[in-house]
Amino acid sequence: MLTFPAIQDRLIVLASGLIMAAGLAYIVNRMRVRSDERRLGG
Amino acid sequence: MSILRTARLKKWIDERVPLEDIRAFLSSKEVPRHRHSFWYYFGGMTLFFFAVQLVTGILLSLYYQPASEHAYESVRHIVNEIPQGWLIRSLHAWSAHLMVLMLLIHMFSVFLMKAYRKPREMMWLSGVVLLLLVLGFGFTGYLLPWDTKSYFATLIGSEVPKSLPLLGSWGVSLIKGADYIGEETLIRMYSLHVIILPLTAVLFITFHLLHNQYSGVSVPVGTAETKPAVPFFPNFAYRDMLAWLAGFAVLIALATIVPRDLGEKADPMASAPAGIKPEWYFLPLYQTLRIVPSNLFAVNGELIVNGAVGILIALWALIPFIDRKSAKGLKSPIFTAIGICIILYLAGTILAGYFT
Repeated sequence: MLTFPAIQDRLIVLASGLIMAAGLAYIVNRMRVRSDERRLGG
Repeated sequence: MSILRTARLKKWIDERVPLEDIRAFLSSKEVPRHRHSFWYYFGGMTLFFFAVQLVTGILLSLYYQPASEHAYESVRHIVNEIPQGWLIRSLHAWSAHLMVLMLLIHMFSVFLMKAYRKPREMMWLSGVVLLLLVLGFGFTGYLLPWDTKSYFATLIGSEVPKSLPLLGSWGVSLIKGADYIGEETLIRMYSLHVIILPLTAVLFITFHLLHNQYSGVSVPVGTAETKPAVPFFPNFAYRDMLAWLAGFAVLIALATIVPRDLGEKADPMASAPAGIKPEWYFLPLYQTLRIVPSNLFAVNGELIVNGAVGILIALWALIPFIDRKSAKGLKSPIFTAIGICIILYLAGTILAGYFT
């Protein structure tokens, strides 16, 4: 039978994934704002 | 010193690879902004989930064994013993669902905005090919775990083209490689899933993207641009990446909270269990086959449905050439109505197929 990790262990993977996505989104959004200021004038 | 080094490295690369030209090429495309701009993100989202499929698929291929005796055990090994194997398999399965969903949203938004109109007919055609390839990925990947559900769903699915004259039985034996679903079938599905379809898809995606880069983004007829257009690179690319990250968040949530299950190992000698259904994106075909009587006007019902689906897909591919009004830059409300009817039919049959 299949044995998935316990739900709390899977939630840790989920939290890590979400933190990574949020961190990257923060960086990408700052780069977006900067590129917009440069190309679109704010 | 380090600035000097960076400048020297940049110069070294510039002298060999035309990075500036590539950047200028990507910046030359502009993405318009208007009240329907939201729909521009879904093509990129489809591409993102395709990239996830490539990465997770390659990782799975390191442990998966395409032999009927070992396939099931190898998937169980991936899930139970390989570190984070369950996660990679769940990401692959969920990303497939999300890719099909994003592709359908992208396709219908392109249809309703009439973005297929001149000069983008070839882009639409390549998109229809990509739709068929993605459905092919779904069908061929389904058998690989070799569990009861995947085995019998493939058995039923592979019989669908049988009613078609001339090509039907030849097509079925081409898919199966034998009279039954066995070793040959699994290897054919595997070869299609990991070599033939990905190579073909990458070819068509490249064409689709380059065409888009050259032709630019279409604005729906009669839509006023509310803000100045955004250069694709880097400005819109960052917006795309934010959408991808949102897509990744949804994907990781699904993969961890609802990890992909695996049923019992397939027993080809057993009879098909009750209630076997195909994946949701094949439900419209499945449900239509259920609705149409087996004999209609003294003709085999399956033949009618298969023939009609074939004709409809051909017409769907040829829409840019049929809708002459939008080609002239005029509104074509009849095609909007057709699109909405198709969406309602697909949604209705998916819901009916799922709940009945």
